[in-house]
Amino acid sequence: MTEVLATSIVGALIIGLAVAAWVLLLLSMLEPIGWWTIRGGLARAGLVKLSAYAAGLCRGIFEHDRGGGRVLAGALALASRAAHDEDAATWLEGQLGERSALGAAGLVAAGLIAASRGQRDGARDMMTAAVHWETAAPPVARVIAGEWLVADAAERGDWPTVMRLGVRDGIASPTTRFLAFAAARVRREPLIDEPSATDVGLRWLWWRSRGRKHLRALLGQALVTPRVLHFRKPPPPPPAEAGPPVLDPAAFAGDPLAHAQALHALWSTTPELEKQWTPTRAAELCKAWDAAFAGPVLTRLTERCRALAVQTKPEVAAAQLRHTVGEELAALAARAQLPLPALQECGGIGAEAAMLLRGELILGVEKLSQALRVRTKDKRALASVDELREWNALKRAYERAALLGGLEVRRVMFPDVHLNVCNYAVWLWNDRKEFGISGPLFRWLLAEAEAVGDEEAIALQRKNVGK
Amino acid sequence: MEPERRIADNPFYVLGLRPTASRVDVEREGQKLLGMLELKLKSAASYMTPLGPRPRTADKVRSAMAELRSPDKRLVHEFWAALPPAPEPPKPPPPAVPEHDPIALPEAFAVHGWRRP
Repeated sequence: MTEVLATSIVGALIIGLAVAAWVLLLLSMLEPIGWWTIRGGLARAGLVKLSAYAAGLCRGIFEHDRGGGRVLAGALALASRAAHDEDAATWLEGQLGERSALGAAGLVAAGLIAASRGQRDGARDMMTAAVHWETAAPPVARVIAGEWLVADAAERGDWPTVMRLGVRDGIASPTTRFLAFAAARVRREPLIDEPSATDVGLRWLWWRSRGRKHLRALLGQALVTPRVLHFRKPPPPPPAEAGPPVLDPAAFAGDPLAHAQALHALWSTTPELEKQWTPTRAAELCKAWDAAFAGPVLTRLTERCRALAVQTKPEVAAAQLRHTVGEELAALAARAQLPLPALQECGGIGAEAAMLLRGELILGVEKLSQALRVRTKDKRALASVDELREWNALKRAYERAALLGGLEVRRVMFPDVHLNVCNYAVWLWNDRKEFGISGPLFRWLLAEAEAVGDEEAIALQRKNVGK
Repeated sequence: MEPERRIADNPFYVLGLRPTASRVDVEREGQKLLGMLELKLKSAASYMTPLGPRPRTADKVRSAMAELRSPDKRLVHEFWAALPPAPEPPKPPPPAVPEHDPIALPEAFAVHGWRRP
């Protein structure tokens, strides 16, 4: 009797285990459907908390960052709402802050929250970092980051980026692939390692895309563009015909001050200055100001000071005005991304503006670098997302200064930045186990050390990245 | 102050005067414009600058008069008003659109159901 009972219990246990295994297998097979429902239903409806809790069931999809996956689902819902909801954003950030180290899904979630707040540059930085995430990352998070970056580029009309990111392995989705193929067809340009899409292929991609109704016009435009099978290098575009000038500086050639101001006003109000303000044009403006300050300005100021009974001396007033002009030339050069040496070569007021801009760029980087140093020394930790945001701000300032100032400015900035960022990255790595953030920092420091030729830093960073 | 605003909001342009105008001219023109703006006369609703027309408001007129009452500030504004106002509204240059570029996609975020950042 006892033997029979024991055999029944063992049999029941085996059947129970088999059933449990089947249930688990079934759940893992149903998980993608669950995620599809969350993203397409709950998140689309803007249900932040419900999406976040429901995503907790998708354990397999967010295997490497489960907590981040929940916040990501909530952030998708937040981004789908008609207007930003700061309470929901704070709640999501709280969920993210509860976790020790930031994962890729959490980073994409932080990017979506930033986008929802209207901080588009910050969101772009985070999505780019998620796409380049080095440690294991949930593929879904990478795809959402890719979709966001492609949408961002498409909205700005940056079609080359759409074509580059839209078909990239690991981050492409049917929607991004459609955008990339359609853009390539309309632009009559090839995609990297991809054939030119046929009409049927384009329709198929469109059919698989999200939000098809928004893409119908693009599909129509792509279909009416003839398919190009053999790509040739396009001929250089003919020079654009010059339209009537908004403000014609040549009309004031007889009055040096009016001429300088006309040029100044013209360039200050020109959109997309970086495409038009060449070193030659910068030199023309600087020379015009030099001519104005050399000739009539002081005479005119002396006369007017006397007439208006101004207490300021004419020389002081002229110097103040010259400083203002120098500051504005520096701001113009920064907007136009004109290299500092080009501005310096203009001489006179151009060289003064170059010095002002150089100091401003270096000071900006130094401030951010010092802030990092103080925080590392005091061991004042921020939430992972905020750590990344702070590092991105420093990196962006450094790279901007390097772009404008060239190697000379890079060499000036690097020792201080290297010391502070290296200590910061070591702290993140050793104490806080933020490998996803600190790894790229070491690699960036190595690349920069090699660029400026700092042998000591190269040796140290090679050791840090394990080369 | 931004270079564009420095020129467009220059008190001399706001009041429709040249830098040679006397203090009396400034006061008279300012009062006249304030009266015209109160009566909502169309001719006072905008003023010309070297960068084209700009809307004129009573606050702008009052602020311009106050700025020109200070000799030090007036000196600076005279310096930045060397250009005469434009004779007619200038047209902005057309944006450079590549020959073969896809149509703009302002609803790129809406494709995924997201709000525009």
